[in-house]
Amino acid sequence: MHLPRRSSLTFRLVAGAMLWIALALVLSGVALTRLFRQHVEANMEISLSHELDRLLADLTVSPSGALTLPTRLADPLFAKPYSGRYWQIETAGGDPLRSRSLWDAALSLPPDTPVDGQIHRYHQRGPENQQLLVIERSVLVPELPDPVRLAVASDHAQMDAAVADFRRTLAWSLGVLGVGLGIAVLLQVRVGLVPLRRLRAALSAVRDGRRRRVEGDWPTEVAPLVGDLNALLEHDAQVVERARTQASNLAHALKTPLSVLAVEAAQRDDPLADAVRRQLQAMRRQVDHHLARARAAGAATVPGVRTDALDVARQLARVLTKLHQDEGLTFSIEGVGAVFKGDRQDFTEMLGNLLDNAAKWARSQVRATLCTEAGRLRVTVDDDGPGLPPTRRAEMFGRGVRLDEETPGSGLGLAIVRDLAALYGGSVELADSPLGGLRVALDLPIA
Amino acid sequence: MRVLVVEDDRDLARQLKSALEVAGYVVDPAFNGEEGHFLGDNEPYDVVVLDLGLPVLDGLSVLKRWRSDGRSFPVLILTARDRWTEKVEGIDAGADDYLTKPFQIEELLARLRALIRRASGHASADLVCGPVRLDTRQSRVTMDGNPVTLTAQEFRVLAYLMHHKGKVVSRTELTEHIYAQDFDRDSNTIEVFVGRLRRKLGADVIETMRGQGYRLREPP
Repeated sequence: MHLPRRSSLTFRLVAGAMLWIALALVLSGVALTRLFRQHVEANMEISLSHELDRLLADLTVSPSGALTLPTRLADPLFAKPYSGRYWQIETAGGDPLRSRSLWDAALSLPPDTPVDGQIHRYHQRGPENQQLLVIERSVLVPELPDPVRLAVASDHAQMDAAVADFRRTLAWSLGVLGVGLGIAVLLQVRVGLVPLRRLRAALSAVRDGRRRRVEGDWPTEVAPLVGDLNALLEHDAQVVERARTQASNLAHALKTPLSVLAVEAAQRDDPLADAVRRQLQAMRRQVDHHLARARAAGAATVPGVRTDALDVARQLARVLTKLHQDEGLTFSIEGVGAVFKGDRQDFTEMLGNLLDNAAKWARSQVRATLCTEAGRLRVTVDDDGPGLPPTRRAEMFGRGVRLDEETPGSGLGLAIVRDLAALYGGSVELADSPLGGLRVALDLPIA
Repeated sequence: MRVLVVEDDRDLARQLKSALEVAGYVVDPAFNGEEGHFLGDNEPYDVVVLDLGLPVLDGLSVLKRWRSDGRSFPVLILTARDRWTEKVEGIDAGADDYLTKPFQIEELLARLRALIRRASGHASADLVCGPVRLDTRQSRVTMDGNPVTLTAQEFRVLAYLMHHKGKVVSRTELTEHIYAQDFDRDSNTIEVFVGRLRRKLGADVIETMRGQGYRLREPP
């Protein structure tokens, strides 16, 4: 799994979720530890108050007025020196009684006089620097004038150990829970963002020309986006179509007057007619060239269009056979499954010009071969005409240059093909044909 | 030979009419698709020049209607639409040739000659019958190699008969092919032209088939 970039949706979703999870886990860890400590402390207080009750029950006052404790408390810790469990009984004007565990130390009870029966608690230092929880009770005994103070103490260390133990276990559990939640979030985000990845694939299919629009069922959050996208694609196609219609209308509007002027000029033989003829020729080249470009300009940018190149070739061969019926030319088309990534009109224009050019030079046959290899569509058009020496080939692409004035046609054909091919990122090259004439090779990307 | 020119631009239509008439054709102009379609549907034309961008009814629709109604005269599309997809569309709709504007009158005439020749099954631009030779490119007739001067009507009658050499051509058919649609026709004038042709080319070149019409006879 690669690391998502900061600007990615995955990063935003995962980072957000992780932050919340971490915060929630830390807070609950703190709260749980607190609760546990309170619970342990309460338990200890209860157990200490039980010991206090037992001390009180056993306490007797001797006839001399001295405090005595005839039985020992059950807990062996009270007998072990510095064990952490202590008791002490004292009264004003008498010797205090202490647990054996206190040894030579004493609990220094603060000057406090709780009301009879009330329990007080303190934290204080004990022997060996122990942190003690002390609970104390004052009792009035009939035999004595002063109240008797009974105190039981326990070392915090035991409780702290239990809390630390709990905290360790809790931290581990919460950590494992956090990792589990993190993985769950990652999975959820990946699954949740699947439609976006699908959309990306669908869009690249449109860009590569495999689809005209984004198809399929989409989640309600993505569907409006897909709808807008399709509307945009459609709008693009319409704009291009409109541009073409306008270009075509312009062609019609300009060419008929050009024809009229040309015919008129052809009937006269004076300097004016000469000038008109020359200018008409120039206008015609400009109109042809720029119309062809205008038509093509939008075409290469409309995504999602594929053309069956072989079908176009066969159609053109049929038409050209009819147009060149008198010369008895044969047009043969070879190839399998060739596909052009782009507009059908544009491909028809390119191949039509190539075949027509070949037909002008051919003696008896024109052959077109179409094949797809290594992501490119290669079209070669051969004729069995006189061919063209390599030194003159560059001229073929010159704007409006006609190599042979006897051969009809404007000579723009190859220049148009080259310009169109360039718009699609392709190229045109001239070579010798195995048929004896010229070979024109058109190379177009289809990846 | 009778030509229908369907072209909405009046200047171009006038130019085409006069150029075609100089070349020996009889021309009917039509200025919109509907008029053109009607004429093509009702008159026997030898060839049609059809523009595509026409008012009322566009050229392709006109052509498709003619073809689906069985009209088989050759049609040359003369249009500004020079895309190959448009040429394919035109040819597929039933056109026999396609010429884009701007064009040279000479090229249009050459293509029309070729269409007429092909329609009547001739391979050469020169039509020959015995000593008579008709050059369709130059609109000239020679007899044993000597030029023969013919009037426009005489030329049209001879050209039509030469294109249909060996077949019987009725007087009505001849009338329909040598006069424009709006001309006040009189089939008796055909007899006058045939008589003059016989005087210039020899009496036995054109045979009269009683009650049927005329036939150009190939000498044995």
